[in-house]
Amino acid sequence: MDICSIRKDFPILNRTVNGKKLVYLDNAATTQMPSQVLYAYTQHYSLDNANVHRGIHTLSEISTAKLEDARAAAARFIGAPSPECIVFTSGTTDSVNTVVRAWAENMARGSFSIVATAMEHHSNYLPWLDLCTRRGGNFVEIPLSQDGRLDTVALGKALTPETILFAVTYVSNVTGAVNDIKGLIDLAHSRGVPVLVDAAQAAREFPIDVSELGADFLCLSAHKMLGPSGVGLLYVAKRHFEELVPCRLGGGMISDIRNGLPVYEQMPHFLEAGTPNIGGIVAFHEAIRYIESVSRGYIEERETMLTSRLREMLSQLKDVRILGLSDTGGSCVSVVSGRFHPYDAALLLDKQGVAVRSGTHCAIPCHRALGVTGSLRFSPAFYNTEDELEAAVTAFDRALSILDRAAGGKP
Amino acid sequence: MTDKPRSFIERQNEVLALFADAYDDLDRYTVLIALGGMLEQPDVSFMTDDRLVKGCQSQVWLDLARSDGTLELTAYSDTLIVRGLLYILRECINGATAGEFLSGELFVFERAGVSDLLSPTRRSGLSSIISEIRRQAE
Repeated sequence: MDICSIRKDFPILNRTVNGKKLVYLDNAATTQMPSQVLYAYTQHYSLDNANVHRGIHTLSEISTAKLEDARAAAARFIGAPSPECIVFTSGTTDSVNTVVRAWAENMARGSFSIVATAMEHHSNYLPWLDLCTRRGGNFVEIPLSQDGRLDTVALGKALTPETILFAVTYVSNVTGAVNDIKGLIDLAHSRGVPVLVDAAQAAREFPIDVSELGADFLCLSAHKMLGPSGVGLLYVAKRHFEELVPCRLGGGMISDIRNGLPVYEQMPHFLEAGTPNIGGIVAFHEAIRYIESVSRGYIEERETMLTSRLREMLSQLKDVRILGLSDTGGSCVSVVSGRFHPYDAALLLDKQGVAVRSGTHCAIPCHRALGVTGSLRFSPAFYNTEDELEAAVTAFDRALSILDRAAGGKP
Repeated sequence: MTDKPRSFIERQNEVLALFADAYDDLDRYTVLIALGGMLEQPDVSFMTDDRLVKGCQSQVWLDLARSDGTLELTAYSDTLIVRGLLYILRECINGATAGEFLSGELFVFERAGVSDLLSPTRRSGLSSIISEIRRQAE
């Protein structure tokens, strides 16, 4: 693949910000959309827009077909055995909350525990903490080592007969650490514990095959894989279908009302009450097509190379600490230092056209485990270039010089 | 002979002079951050929850006292850029009377080009700080 032709697909990469050429390195928060995805979105609303599943007119049938095509494509993309395992949601947060309401509340009877890790994004942490608080369960957080690795010994001890679920991220959105997700699932399953995988950070960069992994639930967001925001998916393994209960009530999720009681539709429709984000789902389908056309192997290889190069450059800056292991694989690098507050550094980078993220990245437990209160995160995607990384690190160095002078009290 | 106390307007003009050689946004940020570096850190006992200003992205503690009929602002933040904003406010407010501050126009941020540096959320944070100072001055 040719990076120049790929970049032509992303018009936003050519814009300027604050008078400087944009260097977009906030892909762990949201990726940019290629023209093909934007076109699919606008074409849907320009030509095919209608509500799905409830009409017999042509446009409704077209919309329905496009939505179900997207479901089938999403199923293939993650190796799901059939489209009925795919529930469309508004994103990973919604997906996790759906598992809480539709499955975990039904399973949390008597004495129970839920195991999560300190590596989790709040979306795969707070819903479980809240469930345990509401229902008197034991919330167990698996700690990290100082270099950001999951403590698998502690995990082995935490998985008990009372554990109803192990919630774990595939890739850390702070350190970029890639968990041995197959090994973790096998360990949990050997104790009879189902596993929910947060694949939000992994889905763009790494091939995912839920059947091979044996995942019970898997969640991801379209906006981290070239799609629009407000769309995500939840994969549910068929073996859990019978354990699910409806968690939101409304249109499109029942087939009848008999004797005053609703007769629910089959999976996945009874978990999709209300009108879905049809245009967003159509665009998500196009994002999947785009990733497949570029090839996931190319994306993985390129993002690994860019992240490695970025780490190398950042590690040469004085007194700047890279959080986590020296070579983690996931395409984000978070740094801390006594030389800067992440907020100040992010603002100074923004003024030089470089978009990065500062703060806790919705991962307070992870920062706490690493002994810091916040960080500055650079997260490249395959459409970034080495020149952009060099421009970003040069801008960061300049920001550090400005901050150093100020910290010395010199105007 | 004692110097005539500087007016609220004169104090703001003195701060404006610090930005005179700043030609672009990065220059203005550099001055702002440098001013932030000059804001003395109060004793840690000052940083209490009751002095925290709500509505700011970074943490801001402030307290407005009165001494001989004039205002005395003590403030601090965990970020240098916000410390720069607080330094400007302190330079303009300290020594002014409550009446002078409450009735006068606070133009320094606009004319120094500092307001334009801030995103809408950060401008809202600055507004929260100014509102809190006004509330305490009343």
